[in-house]
Amino acid sequence: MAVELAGLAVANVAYFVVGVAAFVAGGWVSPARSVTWRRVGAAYMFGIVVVVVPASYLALFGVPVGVGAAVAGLATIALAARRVGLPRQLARARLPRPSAEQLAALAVTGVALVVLGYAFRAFVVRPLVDFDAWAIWAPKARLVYQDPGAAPAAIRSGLYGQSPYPLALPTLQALGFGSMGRFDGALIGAQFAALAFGFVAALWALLERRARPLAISLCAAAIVVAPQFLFQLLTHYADVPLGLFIGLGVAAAAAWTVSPDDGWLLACAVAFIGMGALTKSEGTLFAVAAAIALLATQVGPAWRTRLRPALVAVGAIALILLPWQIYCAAYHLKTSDYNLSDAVSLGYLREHSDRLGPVLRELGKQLTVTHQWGYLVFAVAAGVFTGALARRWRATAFAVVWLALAFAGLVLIYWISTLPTSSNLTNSSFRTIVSLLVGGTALLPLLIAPTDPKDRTR
Amino acid sequence: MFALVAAGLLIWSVVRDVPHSWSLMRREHDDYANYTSLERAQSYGAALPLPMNLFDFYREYLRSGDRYFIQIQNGAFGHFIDKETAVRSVARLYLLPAIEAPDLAHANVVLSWDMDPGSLHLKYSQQERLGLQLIFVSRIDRGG
Repeated sequence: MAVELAGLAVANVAYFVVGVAAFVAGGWVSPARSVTWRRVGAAYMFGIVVVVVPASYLALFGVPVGVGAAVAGLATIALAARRVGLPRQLARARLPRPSAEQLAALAVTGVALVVLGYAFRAFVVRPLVDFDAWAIWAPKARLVYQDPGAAPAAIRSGLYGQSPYPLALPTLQALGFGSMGRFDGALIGAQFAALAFGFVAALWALLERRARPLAISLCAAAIVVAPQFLFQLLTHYADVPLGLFIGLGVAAAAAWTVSPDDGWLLACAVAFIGMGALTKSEGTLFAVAAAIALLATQVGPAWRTRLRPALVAVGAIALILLPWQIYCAAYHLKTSDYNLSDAVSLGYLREHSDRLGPVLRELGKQLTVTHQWGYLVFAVAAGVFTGALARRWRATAFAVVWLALAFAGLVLIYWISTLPTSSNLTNSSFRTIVSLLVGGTALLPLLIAPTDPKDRTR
Repeated sequence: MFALVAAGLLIWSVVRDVPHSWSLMRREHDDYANYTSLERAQSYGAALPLPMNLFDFYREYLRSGDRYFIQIQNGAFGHFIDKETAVRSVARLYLLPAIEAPDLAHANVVLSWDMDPGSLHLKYSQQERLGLQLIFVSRIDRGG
């Protein structure tokens, strides 16, 4: 067990290194400028995106994920080396004396990390017992790991999990199996736990200069200590990983909307939202909602200079998603659960309007289950009111547009679903709302405690 | 004012959730910590419940690159899954890297589950049987 975990740890350190290299290559982290070093908090999650997205696409053509990941990682490191060469001297970092608030924030984060650390024991021993985990995600991951040449056709056959589900999560798991040297459905839980640690670090890095530290730490902690968050992550389902990437993506996008002079935020938004969209089918819905929110919140003064980078970002997200959409169209991979064209058919919607009430009630119920998710949804609601009252227009508008579109999209998918509400809704609603809660809470620091006063005047 | 409400709700969430999550994680750990590696590997099938020794028998005679077809008579099994789906689903993960063929025509191995492989009227180059049960691994001889 120790040898396997050591192998997995090496892979995860490699993700971090690749993330740092990507930031260096992009000019967002410089060895000579210590002020940029704080960004490396997001490097681990960013590195996962840099490695997993190309590896998951190459896997569709039978390329072993280890090869795809190594090529992507080494290319990124080479780009970084080309940009900075071998740094002869690092800038000297100066650690200012922490304020009382920063100490309190560190204490709250410490509590969250202790809970995650304690949970780690369960993550490495709990086997695959939940249906979607062993019937959908693990077979795909094991297939991609053990027989990459045969994997594309087998996955397209629909026998190995839902064929229209993208491959990002199975690829991350397959890379984990490769680094451990064998398939182990229980030990790979360590990779899922690592995502939770990575989320906390990344949220800190993204928002640290844009919101008060106590607010960031409370939001990160409230998410990762929620019982339902930990339990769902423990099952190896894709919904929490999806929520983590989407949450980071919308936080980065909203932070850029408030401070559009930091291109690093936009790069993070693109990477994390793109990764979310390749983690699960619903990810596309959340990504489209985020893209619309990003564009819509650039209205107002200086909209021309704001809109251009926002359009580039949306184009980049589309570029990440496009190959998967083309692949699905080329091989006619589509879900039998619903027909997307029904979403714009008023006749169909009217005919099935009896589904709307149960859908709204069930989603509302799942969002407000306080013994599973604490009071996150109520905190998000209070945060939106705070943002509006304090005239933090852009952050508030981003949150409202994203949350409204994402929620409406979920309602619409359940509305046009061909599955009976009794099973379809109750079997999945507690999972599909994860991204709403994580994303909404990740936006909270910008709504309740921003440090940037510009949002009010722009 | 609302900011304080939001912060208060977050604090209360953390305070309330930490003990709940702590005991949940302890329970999850304690439930599985003493499993052997074999029990862990078979847990999803055993929980259904399916006799995992049958899958071990299949696995013993399958090779990487094999495309198998499961010969099984469907029937009632559980309230959310039928017998055929249960057996096929467990096999897909447990028998990898052997891969389930989309149909018999694409298979080179037949795995029989309480069925007589002779009823398929195929020629087999090799056949293994588990005791006296109708559990077979039959390698199809397609004549070259």
